[in-house]
Amino acid sequence: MKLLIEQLTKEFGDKKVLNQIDLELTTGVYGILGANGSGKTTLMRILASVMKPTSGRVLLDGEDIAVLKEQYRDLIGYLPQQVGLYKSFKAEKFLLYIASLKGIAKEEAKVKVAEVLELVGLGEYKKEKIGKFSGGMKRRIGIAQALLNDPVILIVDEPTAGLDPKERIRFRNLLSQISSNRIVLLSTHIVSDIEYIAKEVLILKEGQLVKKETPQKLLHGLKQKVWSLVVQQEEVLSFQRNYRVSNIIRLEEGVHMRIIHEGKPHSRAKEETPNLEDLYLYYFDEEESG
Amino acid sequence: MELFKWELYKLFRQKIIYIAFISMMAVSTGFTFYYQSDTEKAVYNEWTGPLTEDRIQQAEKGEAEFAKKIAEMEEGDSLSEEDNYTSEIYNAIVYAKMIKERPEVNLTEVVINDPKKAKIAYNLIERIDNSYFSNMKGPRELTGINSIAGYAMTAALLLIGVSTIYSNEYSSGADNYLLSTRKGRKTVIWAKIFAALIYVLLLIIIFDLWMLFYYYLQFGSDGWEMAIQYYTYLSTSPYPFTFWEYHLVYLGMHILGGMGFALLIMLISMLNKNVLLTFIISAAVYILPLIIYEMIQWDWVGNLMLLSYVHMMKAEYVFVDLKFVNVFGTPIIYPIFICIFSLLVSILLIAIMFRVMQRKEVTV
Repeated sequence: MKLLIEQLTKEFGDKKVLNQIDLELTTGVYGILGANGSGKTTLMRILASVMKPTSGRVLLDGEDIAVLKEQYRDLIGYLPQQVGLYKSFKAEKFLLYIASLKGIAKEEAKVKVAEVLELVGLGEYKKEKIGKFSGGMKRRIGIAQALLNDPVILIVDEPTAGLDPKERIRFRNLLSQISSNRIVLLSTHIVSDIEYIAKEVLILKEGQLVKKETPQKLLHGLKQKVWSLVVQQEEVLSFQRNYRVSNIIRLEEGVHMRIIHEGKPHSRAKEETPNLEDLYLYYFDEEESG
Repeated sequence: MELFKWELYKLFRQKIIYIAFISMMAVSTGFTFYYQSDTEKAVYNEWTGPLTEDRIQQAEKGEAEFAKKIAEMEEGDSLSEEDNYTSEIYNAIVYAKMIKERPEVNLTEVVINDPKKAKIAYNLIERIDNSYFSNMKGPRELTGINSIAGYAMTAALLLIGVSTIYSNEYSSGADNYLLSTRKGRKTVIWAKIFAALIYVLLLIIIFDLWMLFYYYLQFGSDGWEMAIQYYTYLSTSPYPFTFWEYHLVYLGMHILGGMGFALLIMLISMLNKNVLLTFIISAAVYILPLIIYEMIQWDWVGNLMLLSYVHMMKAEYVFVDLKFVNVFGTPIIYPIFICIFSLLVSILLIAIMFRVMQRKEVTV
């Protein structure tokens, strides 16, 4: 199965939110990294067929999804950034309704609903009203509805936004568990969400696809760009002003700084192994601070 | 079918519709209960039965005498209770026979001078049977209240129940599911439409049964077989209906108009995410033709306004006189034309809904 995105552009008035994106996706987890406003959600919405591109197209195994319509929607599961829930519905009832929207037969739906509720760890809460759920539980209901039709393309937009660390880890593990034999697209600006599970990372910046690589290759690209250094307190401001500082820890012997820079920032600086957080900062620090 | 059940469930689980319905039932009583006095009953009983020529002459003579008596009355004078009811009966009898005796009082020259239209008009008038009289207080009062307030109460309940049908999906973010699922763009529209139509049907029928019951408690079951011409506002109507028949026609038009209006609310709800805005726009679209009709005296504007949902649900204005629309040279009477027109508009509204939903995108 192959999802091919060709010259995808989306404009809102004069603003180009997506600018000629070309992309090929096959089975596996893809993490989409980008700052707020980079076009992640718009791309996800187009792939979920809830939004239409201004130009360009998305092909599933050679067929345009705009032509496939219901056939395509039958294959996808979509968790939007803002999980829309009927708060007065009980969890089970809500999922049965969504199953009906997905065209799943009544008897099959009952089985499927029980299955996904167990999968997301909400089996015992099936008779509880969704309005009483915590943020994490609501997200889990969101992912449960996305999985009801056993989608071959799973699109999850910022699934961990607003979750506490424990819920984030649980969610990450859940995604990892369900990701086999599917195309999973996961947009986030929390790098740890995708660090271990993404087959490839897509970096979106101002509507353009800046990079599409495996995490390893991306990190390799940061070689000799991440440094650490212990400085005196009075030097901290000067370093912060002149370099991208990803971390500061105060120690007895001074202040330990992690710096991202094209060359060695100081003779005392030691090269560090880069991680995806460094990568994010490398691409988006200027944008966000600007 | 499954989605239809869900949409019904979603619609009928709104507590507000039950609160509104019960409130409307209470309001519809006017918080009064009318007891017919023994005198009133006795006067009506005296006149109950076939209206012979002698009785009609007695009523005509009596009506003229009452008119003279009232004209001579001084300030502070009043008729006795018995005279009051007798005068009411004389009036009703005199006015009810007018359209049969002198059809030209309520037929325009356009109708009289057009052989096809005139034939229809005279055929209708000829079939008016006002030869029976009884205590028609119940049907007369109910017909009156339906015309004065029925359309407003139904519209309010429709607005409360149906305004949320799509707007709620948008405001809750559930539109993402509709738009990204197999049945969320087409099948669900049919499900929502049928759910809304069932709501309209149940709402109107239950409300009507309640009104019939309440007026039965107050006035009993007499008078329904009388001609509608005994109701003052329709005394010169050329339509040969009994109160029962008119009530059923009213109910049919009320339901058809209500269903059309529900579809319009759905479309407006589909186009914006704010429930209150849907409510206000729909209410304005509903009530404006009534205001325009009352304010602008040009015939063509009035006739155009009669094609609206409010007039269809009110029904009365359509039956006051005989209006025609020429369709390919064939004159069609207004009530039939309005029903056909409403059906065509409903089909158009449904087609627009499908088109809108096919093109619908989530809002940013």
